Amino acid sequence: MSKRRLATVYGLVLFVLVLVSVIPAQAAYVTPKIGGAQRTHEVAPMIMPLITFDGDSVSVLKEDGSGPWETLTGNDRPAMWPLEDGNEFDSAKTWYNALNGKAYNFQYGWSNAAFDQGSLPSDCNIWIEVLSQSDGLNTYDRTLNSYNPIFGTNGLSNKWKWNDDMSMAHNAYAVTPAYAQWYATYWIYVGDSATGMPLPNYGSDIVTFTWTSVPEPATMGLLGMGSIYLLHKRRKD
Amino acid sequence: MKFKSMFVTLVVVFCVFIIAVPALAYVYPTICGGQVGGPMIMPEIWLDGSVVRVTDGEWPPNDWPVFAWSQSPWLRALIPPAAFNPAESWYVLTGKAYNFQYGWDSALIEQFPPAGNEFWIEVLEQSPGLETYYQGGGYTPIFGTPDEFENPTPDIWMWNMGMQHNVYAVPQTFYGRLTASYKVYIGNASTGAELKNGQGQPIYTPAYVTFHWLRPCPYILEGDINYDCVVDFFDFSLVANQWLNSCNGSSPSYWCDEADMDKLGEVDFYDLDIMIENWLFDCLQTPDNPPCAPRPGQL
Repeated sequence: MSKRRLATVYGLVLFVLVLVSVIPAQAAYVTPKIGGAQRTHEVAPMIMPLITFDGDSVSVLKEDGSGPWETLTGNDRPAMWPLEDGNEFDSAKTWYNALNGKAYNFQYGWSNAAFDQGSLPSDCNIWIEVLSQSDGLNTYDRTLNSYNPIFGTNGLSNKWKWNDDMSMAHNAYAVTPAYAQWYATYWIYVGDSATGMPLPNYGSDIVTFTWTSVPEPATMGLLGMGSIYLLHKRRKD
Repeated sequence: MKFKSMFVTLVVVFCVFIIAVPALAYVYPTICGGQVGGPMIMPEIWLDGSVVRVTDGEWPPNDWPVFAWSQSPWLRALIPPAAFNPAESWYVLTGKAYNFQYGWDSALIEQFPPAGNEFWIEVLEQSPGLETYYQGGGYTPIFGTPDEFENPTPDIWMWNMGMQHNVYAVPQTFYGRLTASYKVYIGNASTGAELKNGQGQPIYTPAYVTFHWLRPCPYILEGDINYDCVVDFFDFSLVANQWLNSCNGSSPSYWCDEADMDKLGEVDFYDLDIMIENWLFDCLQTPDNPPCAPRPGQL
């Protein structure tokens, strides 16, 4: 293939990609799904760190309780997905401000399946504090469909109190779509119900959550074109 | 000499005991029962003006469906040496098959009950032996499940609008279909009395939902429609209820409640024939019977 023809083909592909990303399709309002985009429980099952308390110490265990929580790596990490073209969030809904235009995911859910409430001292709660996290990672409390920003999002407190009855909590994590990897490291401890001040006599635990992000269609197209070009170049060489 | 032989005997007895009694491995309850994980099933409770709704998580929402039996969550028991620690609140699940995939959820809620009122859930009807435990309350029994003194608990339970995966359980020796029907309503925060107007009518129209579960027989046996391991009059009554009804594989009929065993679209003599073939076969009593095929999947 001549250089000129090759340039024409790349130009046409680029034109189509730009056209696809610029012309909005007929949009349908959708609700947020656990795996981001419209990915439901069936394709994106929940990931459940078990919070336990033995009367002395808080621990976070793997989903099956077989050992301490292990940071997910590689393909085990949940992915942040933006809405596909043709889907959009209703601006009248609570999740709009939190998730609109972002890639998101709420597969991680703090679980009480192994938590014995009876063992927790009165006037205490389990608190979770974000110690460090990727720039641009936003977190929203989905309790009561509120989508309140937490864990430093919008400059708010780094501490978050697990629900009073320690019910399962799937916070929503959201990022500006980009092909990147994300993390957040949390400190889980027993704290005063009202203030979140740590109680010194109890042990605590630290866990890290990780996510990947899927490339948006235009980026994916550019990556694909880059790959084709590299392959072509390699074959030519 | 006598002492030596006694000592040897004791050592042998101890070794046999160690070999025969496998060490218990304490585990935590998992969502699909036994030690099986899986997806959540989330009925979304919300207020739509003056109507309480229980729907899926879609928008626009669809009313909560009644699952076909074959697509219902399974209750599973622990397989030894897995065991629950007697010191933990979930020890109540010992000797039981359980599941907590269903989770009342508030992902669509925008409007809240008026001050002094809350969402309440009342169990209207449920399979005998079905027990329910509130995880968030330390595995406390609810919905009529007997408490530690064998007294039945109230049939109403206040939902605090958190994601609540109650645990549903039956004795692990039970096999078959399980169902529970619930009314979700707005009631007084303290008493649970339904909020009504001067004429005694509910101010908020309640929602009604039905959950299905299976504790499936470990053997597949044609004609065993209710999954209890034996083809008997209970199965026959399910066929009789659907006699000559037409159906297909889609919801809500789902092969006439699975009485259309040959899946030809009608409950007829062909289905009866399948049942007669295996009449009174009991796969728990005689699992070596040829019609009893081990059911795949972790039970």
